[in-house]
Amino acid sequence: MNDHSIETIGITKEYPGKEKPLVAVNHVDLLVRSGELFGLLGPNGAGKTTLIKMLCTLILPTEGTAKVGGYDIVKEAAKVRETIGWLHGETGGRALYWRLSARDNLRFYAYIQNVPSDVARKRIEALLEFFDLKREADSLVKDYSTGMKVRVMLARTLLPNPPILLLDEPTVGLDAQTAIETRKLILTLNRELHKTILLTSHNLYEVEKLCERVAIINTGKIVALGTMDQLAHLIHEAKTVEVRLEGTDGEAATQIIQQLDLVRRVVVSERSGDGWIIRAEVSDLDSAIPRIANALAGNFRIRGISEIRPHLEEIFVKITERNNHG
Amino acid sequence: MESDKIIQILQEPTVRSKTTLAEKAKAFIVRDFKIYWTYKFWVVFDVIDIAILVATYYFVAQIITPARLVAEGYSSGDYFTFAMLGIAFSQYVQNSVHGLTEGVRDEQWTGTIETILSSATNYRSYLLGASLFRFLYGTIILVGALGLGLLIGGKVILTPTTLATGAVFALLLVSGHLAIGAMSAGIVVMIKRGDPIAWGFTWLTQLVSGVFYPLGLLPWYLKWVGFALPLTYSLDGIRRTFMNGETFFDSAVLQTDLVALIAFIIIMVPLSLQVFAWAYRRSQRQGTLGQY
Amino acid sequence: MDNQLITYFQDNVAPDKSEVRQTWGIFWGQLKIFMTYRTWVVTDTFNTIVSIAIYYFLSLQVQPSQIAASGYGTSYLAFSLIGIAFANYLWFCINRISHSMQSEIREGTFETIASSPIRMRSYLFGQAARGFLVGLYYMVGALAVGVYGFNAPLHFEPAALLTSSLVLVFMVLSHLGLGIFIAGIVLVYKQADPVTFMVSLFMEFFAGALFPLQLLSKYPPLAIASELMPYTYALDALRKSLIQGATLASQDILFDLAVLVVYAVILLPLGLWSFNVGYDRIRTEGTTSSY
Repeated sequence: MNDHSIETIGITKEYPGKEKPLVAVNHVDLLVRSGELFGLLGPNGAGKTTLIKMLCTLILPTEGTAKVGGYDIVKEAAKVRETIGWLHGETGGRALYWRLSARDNLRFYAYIQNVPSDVARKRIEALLEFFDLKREADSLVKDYSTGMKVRVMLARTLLPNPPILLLDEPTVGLDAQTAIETRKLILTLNRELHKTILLTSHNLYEVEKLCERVAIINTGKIVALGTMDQLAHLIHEAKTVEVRLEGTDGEAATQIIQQLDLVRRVVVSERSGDGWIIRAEVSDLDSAIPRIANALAGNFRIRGISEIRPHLEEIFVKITERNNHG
Repeated sequence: MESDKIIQILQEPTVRSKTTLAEKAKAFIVRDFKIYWTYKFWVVFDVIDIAILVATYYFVAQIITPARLVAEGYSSGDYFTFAMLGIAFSQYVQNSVHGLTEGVRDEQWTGTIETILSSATNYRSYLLGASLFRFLYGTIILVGALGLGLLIGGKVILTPTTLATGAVFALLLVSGHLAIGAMSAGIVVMIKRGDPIAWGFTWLTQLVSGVFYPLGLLPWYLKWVGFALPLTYSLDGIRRTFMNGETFFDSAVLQTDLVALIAFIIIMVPLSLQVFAWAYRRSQRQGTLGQY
Repeated sequence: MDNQLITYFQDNVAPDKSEVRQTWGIFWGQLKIFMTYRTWVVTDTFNTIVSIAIYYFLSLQVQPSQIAASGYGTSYLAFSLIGIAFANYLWFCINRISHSMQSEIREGTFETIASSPIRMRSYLFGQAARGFLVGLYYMVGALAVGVYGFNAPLHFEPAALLTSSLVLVFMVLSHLGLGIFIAGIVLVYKQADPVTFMVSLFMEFFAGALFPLQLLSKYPPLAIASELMPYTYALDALRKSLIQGATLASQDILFDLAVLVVYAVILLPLGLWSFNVGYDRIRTEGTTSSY
């Protein structure tokens, strides 16, 4: 079966509570397409880890169904486990055998992941080399730094070459350089090896850079889902255009722009180096850019006009705040 | 809570006075009790364990000849009472010492030891606090074990003077083992391991302190090891008190046991605190206090 | 990504799903971890020697006639040595599974195992195998110390050794289900050591590890409980072979073996079933990692 997707239909996890049940995951419908790099965001306690653990077959859902790689997570759990690689990076490297070396941790994992010995041997050496663990490969993990432990966990996750990767906080505890290399690796795994990747991270910059689509989960529910552009439009009724001018006489340009009927307001008008930046909220993006360009042409030297989109951090905060306040 | 409210609360003037040792001790006891209560069924297992041990030696006593015990000065020759007292009190101190070293080990593992030792509470208070609940709990189990032993056939002489004498020995027993516990805890802090030391101590005391048999059966070199351990004197004192009815006023042997225990405590308590302090400072210098 | 690295992940490799291999992997990994605990091995060896010494000194107070009446020779040291050495071995095997489960849950590695393709029974058998091997070292050591250090009169002729080895195998198999059952308890309640310690004390008491079982006859409920313990039969066969030199030609030994087989056949599937129940429960409760 070549379906490497993740699909949930109304999946729910409830726990008994003192007065009423605690709903950790609340009727979530999600589809991660085969070969997609998908981000899952949410504040602490939102239900991300519970959802991922259900997909890993570690937790049984109360309601709903899910399929991973085309296999039902309850009825075909064993097959699901043959299809996934799960990294629980939030443990900061504690989910390793500290009394084994990195090499022995990987060898052990090869056994339990059914990786044939000859294949495992080659992959282990290649992974140790790639993650810069070769020199310390035979020292006990208990003597490793947090970053090294997380790299061992990354290597372990990749060792069985699973088509679907569930990466829960893959760069936590890593120094900046290693984090950058890890992100490149994640992209390569997705683009060159076509792995389906579900990524969670508190590093929103990372999610924004890597993921094609993002779901935001809060209080157990998906409250937003889409590409960056789609998510941005959820929080911005106004679209914003940025105009970059040469020279420092931006005030006159600002006044011209303000006169245009499709400009709601100018939010920024300031010097930027040897030029000038004007940001204006417009009612219609499609026509705003050519009309502003026409209005300024001839009198001002325009370096560029483009739409600006809010960053994921702003999107995330606004959506979760809106959701929390009902 | 918004940050303004937090700032406001923190700006309120307070007088930071030192918590008394008694208040800290209470805080530790309450903490340990609440944690222990989340594993309620441990109590059941502890009770069953000691009950089985006592029952086992009830039956073993039926194949033991009394002559040896009588020759050693335990006039009734009653092996069951002899063993019951030995097991109950040795389990008591072993559980307490084990409990302390395991507690320290747990705190290293979870990281809370660094939190406490970087607070206004010094390591002496920490050691005392960490021991208290375990000794209190051990006392309850001890009383239960002795009660069961008496119920199934143990014979002891209970008078106000024997009870008072027994209480003195029990108190000295606890104090001596608090010192041993502190020393073990120091070693645990340093080497990040606890159980081998604690279990080694358990077996050694069972071998040479006369828990299961009178000391006269041991070769001289093991007897001398036994003389270095507080449990040896405590058990002898407790047995002579409750089996023979001896008291401090009429027994030179009990007086010797008493002096030996006091001497042990005078030497060991400051020594053990020094060992813990040394281990603690060494871990601080090496930066390994939080390692596990 | 490194071009060489990527080539290792572009091949389509068929997984090796052999359960034997999975079991071996668990056994190998756990044994390697054990070998790093050198201090433990030293102190455990010391503790084993000391415990034999304790029973030696205890034996000096026992009348030989009291033991002779039980039918196992006249030496209390031999009597108790076998009772305790094999009980400790059994405890080692049972405790191994549940204790390691407890550690793995605490350390977070259990979830990694549980989310991998390994079958749970391979995991359990691999843990048990490691327990058997390490326990064997201590058990053989205890017997050797007892015989060569304290002159316990035991029979080590080939026929007696063969008989006792067979009894050992069936003793372990008859108790393995119990060990797996306790591991199931650990999954749900996250604590094992209090349970296994209590179980081992029960076994030693009701099987007469330290006193002749005839003493229980005055208390019928205790005597009945003793008849229900598989270790009672294992201990009887072990004492008969190692103290009296009885072999498989003895009806008593064959009877004891038959009882152990029956227990193995009943308890092993029950243990596995209850473990699965416990595993499903923690997946329902979402507590695969909490402790």
